[in-house]
Amino acid sequence: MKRIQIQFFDDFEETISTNSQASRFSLTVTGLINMLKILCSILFSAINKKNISTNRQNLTGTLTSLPSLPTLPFDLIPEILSRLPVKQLLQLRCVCKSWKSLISDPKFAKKHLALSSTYNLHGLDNHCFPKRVLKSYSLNSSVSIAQIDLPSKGYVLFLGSCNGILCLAEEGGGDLFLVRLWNTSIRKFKELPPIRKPIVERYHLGMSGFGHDPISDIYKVVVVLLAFDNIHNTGNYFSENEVKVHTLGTDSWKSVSMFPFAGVFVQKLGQYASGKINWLVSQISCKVNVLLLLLIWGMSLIKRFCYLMILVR
Amino acid sequence: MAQEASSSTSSKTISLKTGDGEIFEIEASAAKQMKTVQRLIDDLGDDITIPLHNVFSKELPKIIEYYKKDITGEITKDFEAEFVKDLNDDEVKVLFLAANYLDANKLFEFLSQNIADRLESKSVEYVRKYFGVENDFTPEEESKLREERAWSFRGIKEDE
Repeated sequence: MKRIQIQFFDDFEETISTNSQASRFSLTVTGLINMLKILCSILFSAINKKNISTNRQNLTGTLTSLPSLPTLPFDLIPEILSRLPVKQLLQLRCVCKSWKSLISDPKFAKKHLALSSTYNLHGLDNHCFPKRVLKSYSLNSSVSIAQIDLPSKGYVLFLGSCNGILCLAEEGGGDLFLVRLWNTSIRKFKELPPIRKPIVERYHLGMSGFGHDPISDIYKVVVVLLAFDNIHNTGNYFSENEVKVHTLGTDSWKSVSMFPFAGVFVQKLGQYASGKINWLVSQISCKVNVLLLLLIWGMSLIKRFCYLMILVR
Repeated sequence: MAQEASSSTSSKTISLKTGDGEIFEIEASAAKQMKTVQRLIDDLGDDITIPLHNVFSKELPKIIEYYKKDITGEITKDFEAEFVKDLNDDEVKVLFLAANYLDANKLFEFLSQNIADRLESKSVEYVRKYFGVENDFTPEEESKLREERAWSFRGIKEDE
């Protein structure tokens, strides 16, 4: 039985504000509307309200009967800016101070994300030793659009992606997994608290996922650690799994109760969709049943998401 | 135009009067797409000429043209491209402001996108000029901002 999987990481833009003492910068990710634009998230101040129609009536701009030099009122600027590529928006922070505040506001980032429909593909190359490289591609071209050297020494893997932010873990060395977020649009890292490796004979990083709860506006990372221990040296291995959840803005990982099906995943990376992270699991027999396991931590609906998986028997 | 179905407004026309005193006719169903106009109709009745103080005779015909196509479902990419093809930057801005005033959502979003398209990949200086914005950063502040995101000011390993 063959299985072919094609995964896409959706690239949205989105804003994360963290109160973490460790780093004060906010990761924001926002979306872009045209296919080839790069997503960017920028924090924004609350100028633009959701209900545009109430604003519209009151705004007329400086229109005179001579159509020369019409000036657009500041309230209409976000309408235009939220349709520009992130890369350009980063430049436009230099236009003037009010534009910088506007572009840096989380509310603007969300507006930008809402208009975004760009998807990019990201891959990790662990073989450019000693470097670990992240390569990014747009969906309709095989040419790389970005290549970033990661500040990692050990083997790097994906834990998940959501709204244009990639969650990466670094293995190797010591008793910790290092975890960081990479905002693909504004190209900034955010270090998360590391995960302590289980103290057992063997362990394995199992299923993982990264998602956003739009109601509480919180990002969470989930990681399942599979531990195999040789009980009393009998040669019988006992497997147990630990499920760890990190809420962005906190400084630790919480353990949650045992996770069913953790050892029988078909696909390690959870796919984020509609406020939930989904994993494909199978029975231990050779048949493949498509079971979507929904793990919900108070997450609810967000946006669409690009995910394609093909199973071939 | 009298209709048999009294509640149908599909062939009724509304008169709109621009800020510079000219009068234009528009189908009632097109007027529905402009929320400001519809509100005025609801308040003043549809037999009265609706005054639009902030819209002028230069731009209203173009707006009417757009919505004429919209109500027949004929707005295509080609039509939209043609629509903005010969408009200069100021004309687009005027239309954009008028669409905002009229609360004409579809046209407003279309023009927002068009302005964004015109500005895409343009420099900071060009955008400042376009919006008539004064730079209130000191040279030091500005160069610091540019340094922070230096990568965004160059094409980092980008293809065409």
